[in-house]
Amino acid sequence: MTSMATVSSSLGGPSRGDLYLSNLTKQFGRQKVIDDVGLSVAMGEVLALVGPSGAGKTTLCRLIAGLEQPDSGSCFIDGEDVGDRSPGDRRVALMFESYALYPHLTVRENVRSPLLARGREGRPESANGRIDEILSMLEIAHLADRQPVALSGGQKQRVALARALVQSPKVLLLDEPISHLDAKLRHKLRGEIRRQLTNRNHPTIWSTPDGLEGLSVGDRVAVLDHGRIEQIGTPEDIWLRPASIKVAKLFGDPPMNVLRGELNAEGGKTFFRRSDMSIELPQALVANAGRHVGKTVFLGLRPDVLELAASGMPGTTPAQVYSNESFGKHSIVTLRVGAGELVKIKAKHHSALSLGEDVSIRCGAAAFYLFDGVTGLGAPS
Amino acid sequence: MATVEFQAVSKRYQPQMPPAVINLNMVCREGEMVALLGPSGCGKSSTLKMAAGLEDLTEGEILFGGRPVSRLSAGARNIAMVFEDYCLYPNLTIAENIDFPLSVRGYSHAARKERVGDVLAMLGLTDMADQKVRDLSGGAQQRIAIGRAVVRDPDLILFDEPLSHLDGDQKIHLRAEISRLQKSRGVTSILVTHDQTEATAMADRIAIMRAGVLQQVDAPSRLYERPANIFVGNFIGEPPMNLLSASLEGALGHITIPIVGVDVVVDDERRRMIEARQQPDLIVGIRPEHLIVESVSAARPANARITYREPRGDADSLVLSALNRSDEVLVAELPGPTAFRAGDGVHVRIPPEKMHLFDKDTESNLELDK
Repeated sequence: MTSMATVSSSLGGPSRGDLYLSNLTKQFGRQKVIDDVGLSVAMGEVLALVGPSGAGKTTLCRLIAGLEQPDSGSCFIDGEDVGDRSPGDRRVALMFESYALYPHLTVRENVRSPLLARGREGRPESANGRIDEILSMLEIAHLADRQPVALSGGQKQRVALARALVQSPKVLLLDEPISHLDAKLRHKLRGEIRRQLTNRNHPTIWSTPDGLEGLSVGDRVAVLDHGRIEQIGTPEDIWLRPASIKVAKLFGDPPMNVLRGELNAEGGKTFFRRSDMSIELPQALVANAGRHVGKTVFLGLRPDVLELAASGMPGTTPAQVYSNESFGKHSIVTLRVGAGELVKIKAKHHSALSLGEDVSIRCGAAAFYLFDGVTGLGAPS
Repeated sequence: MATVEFQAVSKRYQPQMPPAVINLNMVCREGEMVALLGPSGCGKSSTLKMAAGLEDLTEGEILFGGRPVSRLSAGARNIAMVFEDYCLYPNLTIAENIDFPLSVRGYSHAARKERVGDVLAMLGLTDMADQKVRDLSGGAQQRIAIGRAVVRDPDLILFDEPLSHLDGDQKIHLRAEISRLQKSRGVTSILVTHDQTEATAMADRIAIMRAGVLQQVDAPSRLYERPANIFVGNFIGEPPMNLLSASLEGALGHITIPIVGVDVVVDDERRRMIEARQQPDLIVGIRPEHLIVESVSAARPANARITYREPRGDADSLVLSALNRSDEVLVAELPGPTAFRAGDGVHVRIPPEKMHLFDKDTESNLELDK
């Protein structure tokens, strides 16, 4: 479905139908909010832009839409540099995180408004079918004649989303489109909106602070932190080969555990050591660990691959149960290891554990990730 | 600390409107956290407000430790509340906020000092006791609000959407923390939330409500493994349970599920149970994580196609359309990342021991008493 898009967008240079950003930088006062960002999104592709709040996601969207001017760098839409074009001439549909609905218009009129303003979309009445379809997909068809004041936050967000989806722009920017919906609806709509976006003839950016949402909706995922791109890759790349601790900690529920320690080589084996624990590293990891021996490293341990074992089993790390949250299909067990560091495990089978109980952690080979102790960057694998 | 009991409690706001809560009978055991969970309008907030004394009961009685409280004002009930927006005094320090309920109730200086010290230690905030709360993160503020709630050992703590205002990682951290604090203090608690993940993570038991009626109150694992009816089965678990029309055919215990053309053989006990009902039609519920999805081979012909694949890090969610009925979809969840892609034909199986069997008309679980 997306391999073509991925290949073409990884080649350099702006081309028709694409969104292409190069060396984009924006400073507010003395703070660099967007710092040398370069990326491209192909026609029909959805790029998930993931970052914590304050990372620069909204500013990046506003730069693309022309609502902010970059200090340097350029933005190409459909192969053309749009640097000197006003927002109205860029044909970018931006869904504002703050909704920005017209308070005096009904839901339907709000959704129709961009079609009236542009006059490019044919007769507005011919769009009625499309408006109805999108309103019912977002489960707000029954609210079509209400005004925004009579809507909840989650409903307003869906109106703003409908208003963005109804357009046929050159670039679609969805800034946290489903963050204010309740969990049940978010899970349901995520896939439906995503499917609506495939086969569209424009690039889409979907920004979200929720790493898992980014993995779910993006053909590729760009991770933004402090205005810089930390990593761009397929969802598998990001999940299996996080470029840095920052990236690793943004993905997963619970996210990866990260411990600081030192690598020691001893009798052909490599150990992760700290004053309060020692863990032998699997062979697969040792090949790439050589240059870290004798140095400070961060050890990443994936919660879904760690296992609980009976206390005192050889080759395991001792721990005490700190809390135990039982979900239907799995449990999240928080363990205290060493001098008090907390490690979370996603256990497939829930067992009766009492708080404070002594247990052990067994680390399968797939659980380990190594990050440089100074830069936090991932060791190549 | 006390047992909290709802006896035939009903709430009706206006005579012409349907009641918000209908004949609620439920016991929160001493030291237990019970979550009230359900879609908006299910009656969970009305129930919380009646327990708090913020709304009158239309019928029934609420008892704390066997003592009726429905005629007592909120202030006379010895309860504490934790709200979604913390409600701390921004100009007071951490210690002063936690001390506040003690000082207004005239506790002795020595008792106040001891209790506040205990709570600060439990929260790991002893070193920050003199900081003002206004500069703290939402997660830190909510921990202090919880400290303030537990400091005078109330009969009951009411948590009203305590995590709603927090970001993802703070939420994950604080839900483990609330659960730990509540259990180590052993305070009877009621949690209202619309988020099943929160309820499952924190509560000992969850009460599922729908349109004012309690559907089931049980441990999270029990709700997951033995939902009382289709509503509960569908509500608990994400993605929701697949619900498939099926019928028992022949005497050998074959359940035919037309959607994927699968024929599932159930054990004798289940067969006799279904036969005894004199109604061969039923609804089979199967959770996405229990469907078996395999690559196609000679022995395993394709019976479904992947229409959409959603990677979720350690799991892949697959939307499957049945080859024989393309309008029907199934959702499967597999440990991920998988090598499956949209468009792939696959062989889907349903393991009989993972099936939930529901009555087609009443929607109740046929095996509830097991």
